[in-house]
Amino acid sequence: MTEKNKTQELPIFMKTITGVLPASFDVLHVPLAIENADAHLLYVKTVVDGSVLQQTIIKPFYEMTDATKFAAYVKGMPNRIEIPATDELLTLLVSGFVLVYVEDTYSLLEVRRLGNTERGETIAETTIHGPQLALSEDLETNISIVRQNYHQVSLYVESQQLNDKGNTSIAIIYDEQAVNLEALRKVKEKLDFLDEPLIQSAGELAVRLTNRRFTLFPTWIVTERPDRIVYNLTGGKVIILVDNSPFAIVLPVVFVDLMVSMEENYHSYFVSLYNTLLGWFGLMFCLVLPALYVAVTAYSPEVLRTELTLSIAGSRIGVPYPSYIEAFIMLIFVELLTEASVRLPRSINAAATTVGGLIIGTAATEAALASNILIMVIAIVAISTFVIPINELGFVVRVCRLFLIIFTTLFGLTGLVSGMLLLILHLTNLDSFGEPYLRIGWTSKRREKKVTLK
Amino acid sequence: MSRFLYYFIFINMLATITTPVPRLLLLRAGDGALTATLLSIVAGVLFTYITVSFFIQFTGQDIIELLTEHTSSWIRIPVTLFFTVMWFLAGTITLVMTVFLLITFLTPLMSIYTITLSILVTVFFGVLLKSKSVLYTLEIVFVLSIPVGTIMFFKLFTSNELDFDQVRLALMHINTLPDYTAFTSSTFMFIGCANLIVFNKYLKEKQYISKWSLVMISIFGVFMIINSYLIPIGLSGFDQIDQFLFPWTSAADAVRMKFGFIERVVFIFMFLFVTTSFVSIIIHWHVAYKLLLSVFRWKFLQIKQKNYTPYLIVLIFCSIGMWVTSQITQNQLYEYSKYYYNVLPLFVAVLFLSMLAIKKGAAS
Repeated sequence: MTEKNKTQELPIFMKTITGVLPASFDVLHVPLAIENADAHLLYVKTVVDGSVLQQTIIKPFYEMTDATKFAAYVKGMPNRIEIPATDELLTLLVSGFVLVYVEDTYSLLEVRRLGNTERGETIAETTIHGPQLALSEDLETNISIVRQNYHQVSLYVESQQLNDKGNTSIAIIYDEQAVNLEALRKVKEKLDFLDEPLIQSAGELAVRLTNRRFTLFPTWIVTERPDRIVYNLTGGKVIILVDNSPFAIVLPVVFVDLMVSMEENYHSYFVSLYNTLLGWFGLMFCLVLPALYVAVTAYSPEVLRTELTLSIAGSRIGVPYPSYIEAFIMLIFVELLTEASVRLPRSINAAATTVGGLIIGTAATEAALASNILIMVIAIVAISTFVIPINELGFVVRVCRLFLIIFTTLFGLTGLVSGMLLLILHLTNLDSFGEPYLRIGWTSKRREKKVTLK
Repeated sequence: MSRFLYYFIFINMLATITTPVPRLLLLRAGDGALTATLLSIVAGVLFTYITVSFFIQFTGQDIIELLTEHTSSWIRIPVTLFFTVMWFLAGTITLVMTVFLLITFLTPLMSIYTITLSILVTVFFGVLLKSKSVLYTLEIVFVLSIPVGTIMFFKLFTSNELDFDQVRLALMHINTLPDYTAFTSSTFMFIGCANLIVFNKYLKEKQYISKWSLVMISIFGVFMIINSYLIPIGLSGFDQIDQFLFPWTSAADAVRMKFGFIERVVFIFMFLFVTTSFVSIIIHWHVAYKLLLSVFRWKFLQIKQKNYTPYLIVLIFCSIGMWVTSQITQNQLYEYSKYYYNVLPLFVAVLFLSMLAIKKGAAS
C-alpha cells in the first residue's frame, strides 16, 4: 500500500518518516484530496482509533473542502501537539498518534485506540463495604478514576515514558500540598535512572525501584483499589500508574501500611479496632506458631502447663521423626496446596483443596506421619495467612516462617526469640524511599489525614 | 525529654534482672543493701539530671564530636577507650548472665556454645545497624514488653506466696550503714541515660528536662528496686536468700498461673527478660562499637569503597563474648562483676570531668 502511495507527490519530511518506519501492513499513508485542497495522513492503523479518526479528521476535511480552513481546524484541535524530534516522533506514531500534513505544516494528533477501559471487580483485595470495582487496564481511564475520587486542585499528574523496549507510559500522581517531597524526589530519580530492558506491569516496576538487589519485604504496595489509592494520596504518598496494568504502585510504604485493610475505614470504631487486632494476631500466629510447636515439643516441653504438654506428647505417639521434620513436611505440603489453588482454574480449585487438605491431612495423622496437633497448627497457620490484608506481605510471611523454624530448630526457644528480634532488626533497618520502614508512629489515623488537608 | 531517653533508662532498669545486680544486692541483705539502694535512687536521679542537662546544650552532637571539637586528642583517645571498655563489659556481663539463666532454667541440655551463638547471631546484626534503627528497635521492644511487664508485676505483687513478714524483716535493716558494692551495683540500674554519649546525635529535637520526668524515673526505679530486692525476699525468705545463685528467677518460679497456657510464670518473665537483655546487649555494644570506631578505622580493611572495620570490631566483640561465656563460672561472674560495679564511680567521675572539659572548651 505504501508503495502505491509513494507515486503521489509526498512531502519530503513525510517521505523520510515513511522510509524509517517498517513496511508493515498497518503503517498507512493516506492522501486526502478534494477540489483545491489536499492533505496527507500518516499513522499506524492498529493503534489508532479508526472511528475517531474518521469523525474528527477525515470527515471535517471533506466537509470544509478548503485547505486553509482545515489547517486552522487542525491547529485548534485539543489533542494536537508540536512536532518533536524524529526519534520521539516515531515512538509517538507507533503508540497511536497521527501525523497530519496540510498547508505546508505538520501536526501531530493523538487518536489513540484505548486499551481495556473496562473496570473489573476487585480480586486481590476484596472488601464488603468498599468500592467493588478495581482499576481498568488503561492509563488514562485510571487517571480519570483517581481524579474523580479526589477532587483537589493540588492533585498533580505527571506523565512520562520509561526507557524500556515497551516504552511503557506511566503516570506519577501526588497531592502537591501533602506529598513527601524527599520521597518524590527519590522516586523520580530512580525512575530516570531505571535500567531495565522490559517492564510490563506495575509489580515489575515496583521491584525495580528499590535499591537493594536481594529484598524480602516489599517497600511498596501494589494495589487495585481506587479507595486505597485515594486514601494514600491524602496521606502524602506518591502513586505510580502503569499503562496496561490494572494495578497502581503506592510509595513510600512502611510496614504498618501493609497491615491496613480498607475495610477498617468502613466500620464502627470498635469493630475496626477488632479487625485490626485480628490482622495483627493473624500475622503473629502464622509467623510464630509452627516454630513454637517445634520449640515446645523438641526443646522445652516444661514451659507449657503439664496437661497441655501431655496431650501434645500423646498426639505425637508413633510419629517416627523429630518434630522439626514433621513441621517442615506439613508446612511445605500446605504451601504447595496454596500455590496450586492459586494457579489452578477456579472450577478444579475446590476439588484440589478438598483432596489435598482433608484427605491427606486425615491420612497423615492416621498413618502416624504427623501429629493431630500439628495438623491443627498448620491449618491455623494457613488460615491466618489469609487474614493479612495485603497479599505481598502474606508471601513474605511464608518465607519468614521457614526462617523462624530453622532458627528454632537450631537454637530452641531462645532461637525463636532471637529470630523474631532479628526480623524486627531487619525491618527497622530497612527504609522505603527515605522513610524508616518499621517504627511506632504515635500519630492517629485522623491526624495523619488532617495534616494533608490544610 | 525525648521518649527514647525514657526507653534507655527503663530498659536498663528492666535488664538488671539479667545482670548480677539482684544477687549482689541480696548477698548483703542484712548489712546495708537497703540503705544503699535508697541512696542509689538519689544518686541515679542526680546522675540522670546532670547528664541529660549537659547533653541538652549540645543537641545533635555525640561525645565523640564534642571531644574532638573542644579537647585535644590526648584526652579524647584515652577517655574514649575507657568508655569503650566500660560499655563493652556492661554488655558482656548481661550476655554471660543471660546465657547462664537460659542454661539453668530453659534449656539445660543444650551446649553453652549453641546458646551463646543463638544470642550472638542477632546481636551481631543488631550492633551493626544504623543508630536510628537501634532506637526504633528499642522502642518496639519496649512497647511490646509493657503488657508482659504489667502481668509480671501484677502476678508478683498479688501472689499468695509473697510473705510480707519477710519483707518487713528486710525493711528492719534500714538502720545499717550503706554497703559500697550494693550502692554501686544498684546505681548501675539508673545510668541508662549514659547511652546518650552516642545516641544524643540522633535526638534532634530540642529537649528540656522537667521535674515530672525525674519523678517518673524515680518512681519506676523504686518499683524496680522493690521488684529485684524485696520481692525475692518476700518469696524465698530473708534468711536463705543469699544461698540462691539466681535469687530473682528462683523466687519468681514460686508464682503460678493457675488458669493460663503457661503455668510457671517464670517462663513468661524469661521471655521478657531475654528480650530486654538482647536489646540491652545491642545498645551497650553499639555504643562501644561506635566509640571504638571513632578511634580506629583501619585502612587495610578498605575493600572497594567499603570499610570492613565495623564488621571486624563487632566480630571481635562477639568472639570475646563467646570466649568469656565459655570460660567463666557463675561464682567468678559474680566476683568479677563486683569489681566492675565498684569501678562505676570512677566512670562517673571521668564522664563528668570530660563534660567539664568540653564545657570549658566550648566556652573559650
